[in-house]
Amino acid sequence: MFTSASDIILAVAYFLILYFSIFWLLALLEREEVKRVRLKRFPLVSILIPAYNEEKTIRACLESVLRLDYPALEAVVINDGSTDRTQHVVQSIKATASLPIILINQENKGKGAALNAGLQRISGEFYATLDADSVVEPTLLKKLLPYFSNQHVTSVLPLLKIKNPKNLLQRIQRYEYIINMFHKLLNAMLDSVHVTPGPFSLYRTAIVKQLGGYDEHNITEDLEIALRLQKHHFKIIQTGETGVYTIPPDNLRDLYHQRNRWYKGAVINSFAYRSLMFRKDYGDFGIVRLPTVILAGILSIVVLSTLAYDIGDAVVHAFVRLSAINFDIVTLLINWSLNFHVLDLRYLELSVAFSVLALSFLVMVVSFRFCREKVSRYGRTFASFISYTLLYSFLLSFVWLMIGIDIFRGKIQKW
Amino acid sequence: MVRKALKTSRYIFAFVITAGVFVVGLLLGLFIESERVDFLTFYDQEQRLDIQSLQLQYQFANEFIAQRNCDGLLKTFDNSLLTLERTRERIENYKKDASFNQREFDLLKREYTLAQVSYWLLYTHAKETCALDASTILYFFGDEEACADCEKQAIVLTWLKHKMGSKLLNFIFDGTYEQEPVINILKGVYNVTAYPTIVVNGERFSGFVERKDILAELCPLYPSLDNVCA
Repeated sequence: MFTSASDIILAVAYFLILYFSIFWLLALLEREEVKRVRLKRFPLVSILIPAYNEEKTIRACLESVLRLDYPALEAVVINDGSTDRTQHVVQSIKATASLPIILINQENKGKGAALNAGLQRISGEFYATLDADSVVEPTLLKKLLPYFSNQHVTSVLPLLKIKNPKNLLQRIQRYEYIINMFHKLLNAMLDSVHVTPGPFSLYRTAIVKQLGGYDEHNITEDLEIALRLQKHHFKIIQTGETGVYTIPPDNLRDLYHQRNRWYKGAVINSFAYRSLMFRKDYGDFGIVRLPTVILAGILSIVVLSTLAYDIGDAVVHAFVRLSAINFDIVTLLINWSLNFHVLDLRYLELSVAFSVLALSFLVMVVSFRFCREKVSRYGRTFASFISYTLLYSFLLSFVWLMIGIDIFRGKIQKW
Repeated sequence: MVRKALKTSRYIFAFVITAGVFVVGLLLGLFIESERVDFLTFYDQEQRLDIQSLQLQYQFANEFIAQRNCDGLLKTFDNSLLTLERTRERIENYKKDASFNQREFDLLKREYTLAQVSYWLLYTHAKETCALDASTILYFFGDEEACADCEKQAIVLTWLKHKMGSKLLNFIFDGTYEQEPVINILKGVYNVTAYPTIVVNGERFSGFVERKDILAELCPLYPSLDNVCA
């Protein structure tokens, strides 16, 4: 049954994937409804928009901020040394804007430094970060602020979605975002959110300032700040509120660079906060969430390497065999006859593959339900699902593999 | 600031369910393995009957020389060896997958080995009696670690069989299967010390033999096979 090293590796990987899937789905059964509270006052909220060469997207982003249905707002755009027309676009909007827009121009220092520059200038009791390639719906702020009625809550997150995906890669990422959001909702049920993404995460300003603001040398400052909040036992809530949309990479190269930065940042930060791991006082966050950030990477690398080795080995053997008959495949095909019995099926591999697919499908269906999205909204359901489950998983595993190599070589990017 | 709570029952429950899924998988494996043993046992019985039938056909041909009729004999050999080879592949594959029934698969492999030897001996006798003109290749292979070239040799023999049809009979033996004494006897007869080794019409070749070298041995015997030998 488990006759080779690769069989054993895949069996262990399968056990872990199954275990954690069941673990998180059990959390779903125990969920408690959060009571929504009406907003009784309208404290000043600042919107921080760091921007680096965003001339194509910042107009839509800033205009969506101007349309926010909230009476006490200020916007701060930090132009982090853009070499395109970002500054000019912001200035043109600022001239006619209905709310105060502060534009900070600085030399390129990275996103963390840009957010810190903005943080020093704001006076809002709460602030939201907003990536310049994202847009926010008018009602979102009013939906999120009531969650701060719980005094322990330091950060409140909306569901982040992709609107109007233009090509297959973006459609596949839409699936990924929804499934990731569902995963974050599950983690939120375990009080284990580990990242507060750039698009419209809301914070209590005083707490973030008290913790020293953003780490300017971090490639995923949104992940690092979340880990720091968790370290100090501040509560992060992932809500089911929708209303912020981002534009995902539309080509493989950009996608690779984005994911390389995200995942690498996740590994580096999780390792930096390893003192929180396996500690009971950090609950499920310390026992499961933080270790599984690194474990996910290790599993991806191991599974991909094992499968790649098996496939490569089969290809090499086939090549060697066929070379012995001068690649006379025609003779083999002409004389081929079916010699199949149902008992010949590799039942173990098939049952693992089938159960992983079934589990993926179940997670996808539940994710779309929880995120209130229709599966078939932007094109063919089955094609996108298969692409997401099979091809995309391999692509992301490849990213993990390259990250392993990058970390080994000490190659870390800046933005 | 709030310290987090930890609910250990969820961890245990998730483990129990996961382990349950694995236990179900193991039981399924056990069931399928025993089904495979039954399936091959049936083939084994069929094989034994085929050998008996061939032996009788040969005895008839031998006893009643006046009405000697060997017409169907070579075809029966050909079909039986094809079935036997397929069974061998199944036994090897099932054995590789097996966790619980290794002993049963070993016994089946032994039956298969004896069947191969029986066919070969029978053919050696019948060839003279019935003037059969098929060539024979005895192929001794080893496991992957012991024999890197065996997969190449196997496909060369398969290719030759496809090209030559009933003019060639391949008899395949696992040279490392020393639990069966007859394998050691055969290896002794042909002085087989390395894998792959092939014996073409009684002549031994040690190590991988290319198809052109095998054809050089066979082609002079079959001038009509110019599509292969040209």
